[in-house]
Amino acid sequence: MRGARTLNVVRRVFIGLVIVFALAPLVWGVLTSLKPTQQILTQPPQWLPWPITFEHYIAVFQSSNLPQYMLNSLIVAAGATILALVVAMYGAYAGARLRFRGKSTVLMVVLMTSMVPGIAVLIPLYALSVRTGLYDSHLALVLVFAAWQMPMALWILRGFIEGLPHELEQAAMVDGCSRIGAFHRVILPNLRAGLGAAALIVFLFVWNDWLIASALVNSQDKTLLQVGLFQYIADTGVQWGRFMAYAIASSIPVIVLFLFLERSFVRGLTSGATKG
Amino acid sequence: MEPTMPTLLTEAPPEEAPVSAPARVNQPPRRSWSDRTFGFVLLSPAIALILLVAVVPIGLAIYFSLHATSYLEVRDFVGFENFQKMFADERFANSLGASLKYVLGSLVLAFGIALPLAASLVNGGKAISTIRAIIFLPWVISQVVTALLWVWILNPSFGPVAEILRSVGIAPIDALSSPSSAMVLLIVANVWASYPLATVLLLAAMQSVPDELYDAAAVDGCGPWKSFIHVTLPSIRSALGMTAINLTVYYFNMVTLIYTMTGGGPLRSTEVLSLRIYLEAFQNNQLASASAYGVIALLLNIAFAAAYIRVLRSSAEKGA
Amino acid sequence: MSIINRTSRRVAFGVGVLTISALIAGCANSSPAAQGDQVIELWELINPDGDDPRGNDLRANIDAFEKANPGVKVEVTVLPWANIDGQLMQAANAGNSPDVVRVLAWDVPKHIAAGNLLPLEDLIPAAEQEDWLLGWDTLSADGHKWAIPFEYRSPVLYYRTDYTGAEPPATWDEMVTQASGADSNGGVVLGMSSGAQAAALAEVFVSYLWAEGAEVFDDDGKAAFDSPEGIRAFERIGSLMPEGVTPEEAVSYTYEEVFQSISAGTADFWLLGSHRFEAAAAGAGLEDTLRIAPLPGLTAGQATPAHVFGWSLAIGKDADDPDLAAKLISHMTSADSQLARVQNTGELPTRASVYEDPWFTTEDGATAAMLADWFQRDGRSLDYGEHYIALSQLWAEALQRMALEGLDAATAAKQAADAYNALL
Repeated sequence: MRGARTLNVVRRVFIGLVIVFALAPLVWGVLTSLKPTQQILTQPPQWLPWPITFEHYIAVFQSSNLPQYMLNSLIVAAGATILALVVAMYGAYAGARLRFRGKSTVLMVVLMTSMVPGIAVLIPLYALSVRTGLYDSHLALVLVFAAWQMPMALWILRGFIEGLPHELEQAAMVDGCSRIGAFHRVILPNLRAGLGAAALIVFLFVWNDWLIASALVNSQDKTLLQVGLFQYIADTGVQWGRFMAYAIASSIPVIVLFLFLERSFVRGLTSGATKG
Repeated sequence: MEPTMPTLLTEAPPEEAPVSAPARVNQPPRRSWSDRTFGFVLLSPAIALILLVAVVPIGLAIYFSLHATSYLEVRDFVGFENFQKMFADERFANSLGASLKYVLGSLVLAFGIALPLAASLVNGGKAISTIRAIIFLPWVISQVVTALLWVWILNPSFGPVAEILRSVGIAPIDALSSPSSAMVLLIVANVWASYPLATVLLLAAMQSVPDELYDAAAVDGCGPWKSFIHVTLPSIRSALGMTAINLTVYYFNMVTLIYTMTGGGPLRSTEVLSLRIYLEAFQNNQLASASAYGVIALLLNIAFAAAYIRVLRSSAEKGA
Repeated sequence: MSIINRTSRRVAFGVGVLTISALIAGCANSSPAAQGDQVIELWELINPDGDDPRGNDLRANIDAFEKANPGVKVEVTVLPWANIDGQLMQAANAGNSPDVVRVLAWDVPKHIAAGNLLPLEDLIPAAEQEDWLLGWDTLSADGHKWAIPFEYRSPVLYYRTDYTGAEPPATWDEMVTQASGADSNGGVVLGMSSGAQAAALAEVFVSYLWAEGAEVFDDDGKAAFDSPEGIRAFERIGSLMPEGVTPEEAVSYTYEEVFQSISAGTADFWLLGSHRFEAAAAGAGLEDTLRIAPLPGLTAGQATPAHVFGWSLAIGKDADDPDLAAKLISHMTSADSQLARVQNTGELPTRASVYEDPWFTTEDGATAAMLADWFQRDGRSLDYGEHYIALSQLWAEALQRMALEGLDAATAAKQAADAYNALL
């Protein structure tokens, strides 16, 4: 029993350290974003802002393109999510329910493409997009993002579909539905958790992406959020208050999303491997 | 495109869905399409997207790497000349070394945090769902923001880390401008953002270890530490392997965090292979050379994928 | 299930809706061109709507141009200065390069080679091809003129009268002596980063290569800086850090960090481009104490050549109306607009006649006059070649190796030269 108690203490201490590690950079960033500039550039550092000022946030929202870029990211992320999910769900159904030779090979190929080195593929994609005239368009971004995340979405949905009993479709087909009708009528409504998990993952990827967005889009009015942040840092003279405000503002939407839906994130990640 | 979430499986994809007996007896009534046709119809959009974003670009990359190029224009066929130049270039060897350090260092640190953390969380239950959310928070932060937060927190003049060092008598240095320490800090920032991923995977695996095994071990007189070594670790062996490979692929192909945090410097000490590809293409405008580097990266990734499939298959055989 | 309860969920949802509405509302702000207007797309670093001297100067220029050319609207796309080059390359690749674009002098050869620009000698009237400080032949290749210099700058010596006294050090050795020693304020700071902004170092290094009598390239465009004279330049700059004159952090300093150091006063001397002077003095309230001077010579009485370069204006290959684009360029580089610009923003003119204006003899014009004098007597411009960015990185790495790993100058120079020649 002694051993178990010390182990408990060790456990808690360790978790505590991890919490500090996880939160420290974020907390410091948030505090910096709320401090007036003189308090940021002090040595020794001033820990708490006093008074709290929102000037950095206001400046960043008003005089940079943050709102525009956020909107762009929202649009592209929504588009890519919808496309990826639609394509993935039919493929997932095939993978989960149908039996045919070559199925596991096809599925393996789909899985392996998510192991293709992105940067190696991005360069020909960039050249392709220029040649086909799709360069500098949200369409190109949506296509590439959707295609890139679709394998992941497919695996997640497949796992969820496999967890549903066959009786569901059979009952629907006995009632006169076609196979695909059964899918729409009966499987889809039960797939909400899986769709939610997959959607979050695709959305998060697009929201956080810098590489694809910087390679495929040029115009300021189509730029996505992380590219905008990077440009902002490169452009403005070193102003940590502003930088932190931009960074935190960019992160808040996904942080909030995550805190609400953390369970779904985790479920999606482990794609049905946990029991219960 | 660096996967924020690399594909994960903790189980092998079964050939058939695990179904109960009744379903096998009642086959779904055959309709006008066979499973095969229907299957390919349903999978064709997915296959089309894959062609678009993986197959065609890989073909193009190989094509570019075998030619001379001038900006975006492809010129003469030069065979393996680009590769020869690349192998002779000391930057290539440097980038492989940097990639090795980065991946291995990150793996060690990530597992060093994730394994004990997953073990600590395994029996947590409802009480720690809040804690779990907090611990996993760095995961949703983008790489650009991660780099920015870490550069700032490590600032030698105004940052808290420097202050803490000063208070114990160590003079803070600008660690990001020293070739020896820049890589270390890059790894720390990387692991900060990715340990939640590793933790989640290991946690899921640990949670599916049957209680009977632990009960048996307890009966044999194993304490918590011993049962961890003798029960937990062996049971999650394939998950360990697959997580390691997943993370390897993820770390190996990463560009944004490194580019934003150090740009490859100082003195190219953090210029990993994936970053080299990016710089060669978008900074030096050398399409052929970038493609040659890319082909090498692709080959290495295929090796990782092969390892992944092998672990996957063997875990399926073991039924673990 | 989730850690937040249902009520908070509704609140968050409402907040989300409000935020999105605010974002959408925040996006609408530009004034679109009227139907039938001819539009010129101008890529600039400066925001014409910004309330700073350069922004106002640009706004005045655009307004005057639009007034003189009714039916024409100038649409400005503001880009970060470090991005504009990459964006131009990508845009030209995709066939939608802008009409008029700012190009840094050392990026011009790259764009010429890629075919991204239109030749200008037939688009600019003959009368305007006169009266250039460094002549009409700058920024030319293959018998064509590819860009018009917009403003000039050079790396200079920044010093403070409260640290150093009224007079700057006359020679390099004097500068080093004054910066070292017990009462040093931080030494000599220059940017030595080898990343994308290695140009900060290259700017200074070119001047000292020339000062030692070395050349950057030979007549075939190959590296010539590993000559004995060039090696001396490597020794000179590369010894700053080992001898403790330059702090070690400078190894990762880009333009911004050096600028920050100037504003914070954390060194005795700084070597940075002249174009940052106004901003540094005004931003940190140092108008009374911050000064600039020509780079210290190697010996007394022997001036170090000024490495004159700057932003130029060029026409993208996809321009719809090259004649109109050329008109805008002529307007923005006219003698009058350049005089106004130097008076309001300190950006130095590229037209020779402007320097004769009496303003340069006034106190306000003293700094500009000093630089102009230096440029005219000892100014040189460099024919950069297509790989100048790579070259600056090679130089930065060589000097970093000397500083951090103790590499000797001759080996460093040779390695850099070989690596550069391998790129050709």
